[in-house]
Amino acid sequence: MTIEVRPDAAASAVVLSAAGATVRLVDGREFLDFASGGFGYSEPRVTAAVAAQLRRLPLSSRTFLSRPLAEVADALARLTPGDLEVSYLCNSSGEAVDGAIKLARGYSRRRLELVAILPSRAGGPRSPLEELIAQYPRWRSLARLPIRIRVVDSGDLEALRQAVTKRTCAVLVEPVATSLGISMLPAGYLAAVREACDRTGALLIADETVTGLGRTGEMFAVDHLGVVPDVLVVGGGLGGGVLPIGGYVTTRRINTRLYGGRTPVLHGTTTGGSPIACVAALAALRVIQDDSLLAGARRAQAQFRAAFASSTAAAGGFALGLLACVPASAAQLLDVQRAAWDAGVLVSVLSTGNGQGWLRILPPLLTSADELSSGLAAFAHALAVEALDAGTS
Amino acid sequence: MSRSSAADRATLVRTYRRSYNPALAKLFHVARIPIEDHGYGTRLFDEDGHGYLDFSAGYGVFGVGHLNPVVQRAAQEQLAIAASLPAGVTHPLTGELEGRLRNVLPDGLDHVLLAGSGSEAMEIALRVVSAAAPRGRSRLVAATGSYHGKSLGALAVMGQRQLRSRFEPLWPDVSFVPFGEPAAIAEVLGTGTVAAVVLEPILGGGYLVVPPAGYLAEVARLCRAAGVLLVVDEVQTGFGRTGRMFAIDAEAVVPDLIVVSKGMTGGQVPMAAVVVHDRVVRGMPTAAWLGATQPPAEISRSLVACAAANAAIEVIHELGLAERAAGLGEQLLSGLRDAHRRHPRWLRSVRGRGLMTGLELRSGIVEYAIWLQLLSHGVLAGYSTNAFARHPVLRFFPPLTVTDSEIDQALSALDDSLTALSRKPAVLYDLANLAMPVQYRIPDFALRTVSRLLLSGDRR
Repeated sequence: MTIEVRPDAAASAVVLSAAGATVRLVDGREFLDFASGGFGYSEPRVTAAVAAQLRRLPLSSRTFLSRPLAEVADALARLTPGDLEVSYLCNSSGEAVDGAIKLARGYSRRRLELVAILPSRAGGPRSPLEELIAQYPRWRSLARLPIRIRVVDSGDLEALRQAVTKRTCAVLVEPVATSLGISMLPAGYLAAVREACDRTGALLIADETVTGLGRTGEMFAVDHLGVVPDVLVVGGGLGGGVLPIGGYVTTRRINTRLYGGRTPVLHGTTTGGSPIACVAALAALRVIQDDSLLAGARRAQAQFRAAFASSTAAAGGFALGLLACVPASAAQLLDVQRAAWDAGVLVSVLSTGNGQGWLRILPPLLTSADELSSGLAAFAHALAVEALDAGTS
Repeated sequence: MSRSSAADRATLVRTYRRSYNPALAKLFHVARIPIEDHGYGTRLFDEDGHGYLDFSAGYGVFGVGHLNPVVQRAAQEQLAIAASLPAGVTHPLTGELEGRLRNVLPDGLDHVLLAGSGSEAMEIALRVVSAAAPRGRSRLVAATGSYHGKSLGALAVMGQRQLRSRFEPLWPDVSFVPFGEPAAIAEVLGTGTVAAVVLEPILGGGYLVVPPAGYLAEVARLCRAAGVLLVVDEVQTGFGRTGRMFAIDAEAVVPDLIVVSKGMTGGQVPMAAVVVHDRVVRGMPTAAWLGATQPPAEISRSLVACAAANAAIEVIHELGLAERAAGLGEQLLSGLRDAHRRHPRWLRSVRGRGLMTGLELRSGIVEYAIWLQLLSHGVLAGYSTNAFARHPVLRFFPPLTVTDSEIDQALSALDDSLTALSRKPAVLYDLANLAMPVQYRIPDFALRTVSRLLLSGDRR
């Protein structure tokens, strides 16, 4: 089972305040949160927008028009590639993926199979569904559907060809996999998925709840790959570091086929797309644009790669935008994480049942160049020290 | 000062149609729905400065009113300090919220799982049920007409068939039984295949059905005897709305799982929870419990949400809003019954308990017409948007902080609205009602014509 671990000291730390990537504890200590991804903390423009909306109408009446909701729908239509222009907004990444799957199932009611593309198996005898949920808990609503889930290892073209058929309602994929370490899809693979979906009429659902909103150096990871999905799921930093928000964007054709001409409440959640969440999202999107955070993510990538290149302990390290990871043995993982924590950086650790592990560095979008430099230096040092210890023990 | 105009509304409607929800855009366009701007206490204001007595309460979320000052202060203060947490790090505010929930719920309901919405909480509840159920028991029992959320797991127990059927097959082992009849549940329990019964204490959603006294207690007894879990959905009925803190309190029922939301949002943040009884957790392997409940929902990282929810629960308790709802509910229900007596042509029955009230109506088009009339008289009622119900229930769910004078005003507006309706013959409405099932498929101008034909009185 892939497990996400925090050092015990971090789990019991009490947060006082936070800004950018820096978190301050009540005991006066500070650390860089390079484990949570997301937008980052206490960005003043987001805070101001949320404070102002809190004073007016934070949750919607739901029976009147909402200006913030319209503005977010508009913004997402403009930011997403191709014909993606109709949004659904809700309260979390899990809810957003669920909504996307619901869309696919309603769109092709008779198709009772779904294909999920995973970076690889984490090991151990597990059903495809168990494997999928172990890697992607936010995809877990699949467990409650009596449909056949077919798991395809990323890169396997033959398995893809066999799995995606006219019985497939959707293919679910992260354009850059983050469930086991961080890894790109092999060159041309997402295009092959697109082609398989075009050929069979399955919907391509791209889960960008982690990779979206500039994290990879482009607005969406699919932009790197030049592929336009049928449904693009967003989440992560869209809440601006205040509230969890999720959503998906699809084409008018797909949305109309399922939801057109029917009751407007066929899908929904009472607090999804609330004014407070929407103004946070709008402010976050504005900051991403005004502060050129995409360029910042590309600079971060260069810094990561330089750091990894100059460290033997970081052999095999991978970086794309603000997503980086270093593979490590299960034995080393916790030691490095603890050493990094002691040096003021919280990094993420993932391990599988069969001894594979990764140290993941997931700084928030707001991370400044200085924060990244000092955090990276502390991490690299922790890595080198533990490698030395491992070498001498 | 008028901030918006028909042009502004047209622009937003266009965006809704292009980029959000075309069917909703149609409805909002035809009904000339205003743009919401701000709220305070019992009132919601549109961008033109018109105020409305809010008797929909955002489908229940404004239990403590709009911009409750205690909730507002808590949310703003926390926003200024630290709005959210790193993943995997805890904070006293989350522990405080869990403690407050344990304190207002019956003993034994100790394991709190926060969620970002009622649907998400129901999903967690269903995962716990699946993990806890003995081998061979996977069946769920739910009520026809029920509403537990629209996410794929919760959708399987959606009793309102038209909201579910398009997405079937869903979880395969679900039996729907008539609400209010314990014998129907007993019959399914007799198959020995049931893992859990999922029930609202009062049917909400697009209907409003108060069951016979003792129903919930009897169902609880049946479940205990059969070794079946009882999941009570108090998303709508919870936090004082029915005149007790929770509807289960009225019959001293202690379910195995309880799902809550709405009231605990304080009207300012998304928030929900499922609380699991200790006996359930002790009865299952730790690995199974963790598998069903980890990782924690994203909302648990939002300190603003936790702070607001803490304040909301405190307000509901300190102001005695449950007792208040019981007393004011008498006044509201009595007024609705008067209206029923005076206008039997349009009103078929009065439903509800506490401040969870509604009027069962002649038809869908009558609901639409009354709702619009009320709006023009300064009252926002809870539109059911239930295009399928032959006799939809228009809801009157004011904030629990509503005053008796505001209730009188709303009842007076209701009387004026019904009188206005009565200026036209019932048969006209019955004819127009034929358009209801296809309303989202016929052209806007046709709907507008019908709308104009029906509505008298001043319209903006």
